[in-house]
Amino acid sequence: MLEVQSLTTAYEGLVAISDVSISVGAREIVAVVGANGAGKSTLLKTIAGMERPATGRILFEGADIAGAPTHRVNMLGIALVPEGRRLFPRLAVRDNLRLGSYLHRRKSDREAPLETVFKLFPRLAERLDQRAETLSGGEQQMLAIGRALMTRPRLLMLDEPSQGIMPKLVDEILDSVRTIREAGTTVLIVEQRLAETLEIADRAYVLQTGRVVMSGAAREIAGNADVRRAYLGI
Amino acid sequence: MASAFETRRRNQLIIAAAVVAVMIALPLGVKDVYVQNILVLTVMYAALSQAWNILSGYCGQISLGHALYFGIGAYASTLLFVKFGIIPWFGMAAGGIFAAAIALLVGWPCFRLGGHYFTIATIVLAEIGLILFLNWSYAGEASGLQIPVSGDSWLTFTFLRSKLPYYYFALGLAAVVWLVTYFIEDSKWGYYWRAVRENTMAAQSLGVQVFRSKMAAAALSAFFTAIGGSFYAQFVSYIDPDSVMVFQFSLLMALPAVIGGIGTLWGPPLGAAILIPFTELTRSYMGGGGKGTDLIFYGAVIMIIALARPEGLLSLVTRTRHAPP
Amino acid sequence: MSALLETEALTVRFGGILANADISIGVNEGEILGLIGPNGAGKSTLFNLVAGTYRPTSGRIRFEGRDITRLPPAVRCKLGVARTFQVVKSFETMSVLENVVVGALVRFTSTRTAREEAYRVLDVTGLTRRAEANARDLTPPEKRRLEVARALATQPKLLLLDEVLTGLTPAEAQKGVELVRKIRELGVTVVMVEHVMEVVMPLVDRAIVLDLGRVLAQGAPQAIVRDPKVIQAYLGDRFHA
Repeated sequence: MLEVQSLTTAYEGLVAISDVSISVGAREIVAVVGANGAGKSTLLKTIAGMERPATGRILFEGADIAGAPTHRVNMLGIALVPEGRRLFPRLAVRDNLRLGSYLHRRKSDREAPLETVFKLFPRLAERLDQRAETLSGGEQQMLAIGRALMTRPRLLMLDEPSQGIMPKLVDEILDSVRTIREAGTTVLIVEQRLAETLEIADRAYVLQTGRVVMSGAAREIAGNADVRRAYLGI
Repeated sequence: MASAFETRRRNQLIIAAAVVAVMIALPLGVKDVYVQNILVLTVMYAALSQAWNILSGYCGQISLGHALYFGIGAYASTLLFVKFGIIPWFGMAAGGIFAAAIALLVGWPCFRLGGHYFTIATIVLAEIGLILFLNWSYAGEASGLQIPVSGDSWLTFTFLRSKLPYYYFALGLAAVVWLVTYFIEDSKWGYYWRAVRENTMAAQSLGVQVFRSKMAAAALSAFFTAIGGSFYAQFVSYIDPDSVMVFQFSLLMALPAVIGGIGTLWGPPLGAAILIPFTELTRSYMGGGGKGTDLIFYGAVIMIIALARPEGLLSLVTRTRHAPP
Repeated sequence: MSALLETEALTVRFGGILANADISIGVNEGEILGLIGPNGAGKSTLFNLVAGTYRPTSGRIRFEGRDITRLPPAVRCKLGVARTFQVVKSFETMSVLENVVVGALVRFTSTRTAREEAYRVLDVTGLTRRAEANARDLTPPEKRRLEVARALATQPKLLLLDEVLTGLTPAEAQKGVELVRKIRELGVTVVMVEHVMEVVMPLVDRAIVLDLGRVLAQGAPQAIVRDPKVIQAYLGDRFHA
């Protein structure tokens, strides 16, 4: 479904990712892991159209979307749950979700995904009128994912969803990612916390200093001692 | 390489000496009082803008309220002369010191404000000054003060017959402020002020005491601006708040530096040489009708410079370009 | 080796977030110390506390035995603590040389001697041929070098480097490593916050790992990477390999 070929993105002369190639098949959960600064966020941002790649191609269902603006990428069916959630803090849960839905023209199209989101995250249904900034970290992450789901994406990308969240809730959130896949959405998840993520992923790539250093089935990567070196340097 | 630097420095002084020599000779052939007037004003604004440039150009704290210090200088020396008979030479010095003290006083709260807020504060303070003087009966309120002129005297610094002595004083003042700026350029203060202008946090991390630096720049700038104000009072022999403390003056002190090259040594005099004759000439064409026309003109000039060449016209001549703050 | 810098139960709260909790560490004179940890661990916060940009909610910082907790950055610089910024803050309209002179002026009052010192520092940091260039025109790696040069010109006893090796090509990163070693040879103690583990771990004498605002582990790099707590912090609670 998604094929990234030899992607390189740089910020003002400093290379963030270099010659990165990954592929995500329909209805897969693919994880991209690595330490800070490995380039994971940059990869997602480049796919989402928030950064321009210097070289390389991004093929989504056959069409090259490299360099396309974010709203176009969104229209094609890719949604990003950004790092740090980036909610609208003073707006209510209901409004945050609604703002995610305006891609669709018809009101019925906009309302329909709400059902799915509430089934996935019942807590959100309980807090519809609460301001986003008053939610707990875990609830905020659920809201951010819910908002992305409002566009009914075919590919959902998550940037470090476990950041700053209590371990218990991390499991809940990762479980919900499984459910999202079961409903038919393909998932690309970027994470630092390797072990938990690999439990739900089918395949994984390990990034180190902007390059892919390992790839394979999630189970294999999880058991690989070299991964430690990719994270800790020695 | 060290001597290349020293050569550059020496060349600046040589150029300055040449310019001063030309400026000394310039008015000797001019008999027309109107032209003499323009020359005096041009040189005065060169001095004023150079003083403004110290705080706003080098230190990067943009003040649009320098008319306050100009007015304080004008009133200080005039009051001392008219009420106590103290000759303007002492009055000027007193005005300068007083203005510097005021600059430190207002700097205390204002320098905690960043960028645009500081500029707004300076405008507000100047307006407050204007209102205070308009209501101060001792200083003549709106009617202002008249300086008695009985004949030519260097002691009381008043001249009836020719404008030339005023011109030479103003030229001297401009030369002094230029020289002060010249020494600033290669001094600890100069480096620190520019560091504060460029990046306050980085400056702090390198041991620069930012607040103290800003205060020093403000005091020095205010001092010379006030002396210019005292000079102006003597030149026109009559001052009132609307003629020495209005916003237009603040702009006219800033514009030559902006046009010529803010934060540079030669920017203010270059800008003054271009702007002042131009404004004086256009004023005589447009008459005095409506105070708005000159502001419109200044606004247009600022926009043109900002769009076309923000570093100022000096960058057309020199290789080293300084970006605007 | 004696402790050049010590923190005592350093705690910082930003709003409701406990960014640093009860941190007590020491920096030994002459060492190169790495400050590492996963995202959000509180490394930057600790860095900025030592540099003086943040004030702690409670706790103390001692430099050469003297309590510097309440001192602002400019005063700390005079005492011998210098830092670089992660997002480079060059004086853009000034030349490379002039940038470094600003740093040198904290030790020399005459601009001439400050300039001489600046040239010496440019030599150490390999920027001599760019001395007259405007800081604005430097490449990002060169700007990083300038950050270091400027801080070095203040003749610090303790130099705090904030992610100076991030985003560099392997060749540039190696040059960076050599520069840090050279700085240590000049007698400066170095504390580095870093992410690029494969470059920094071979370089440092000791590493302190932060996680969730607390000190998780400290010791020699080889020991640190085998510490199960550290592995868990970076790779997740259930990593087994």
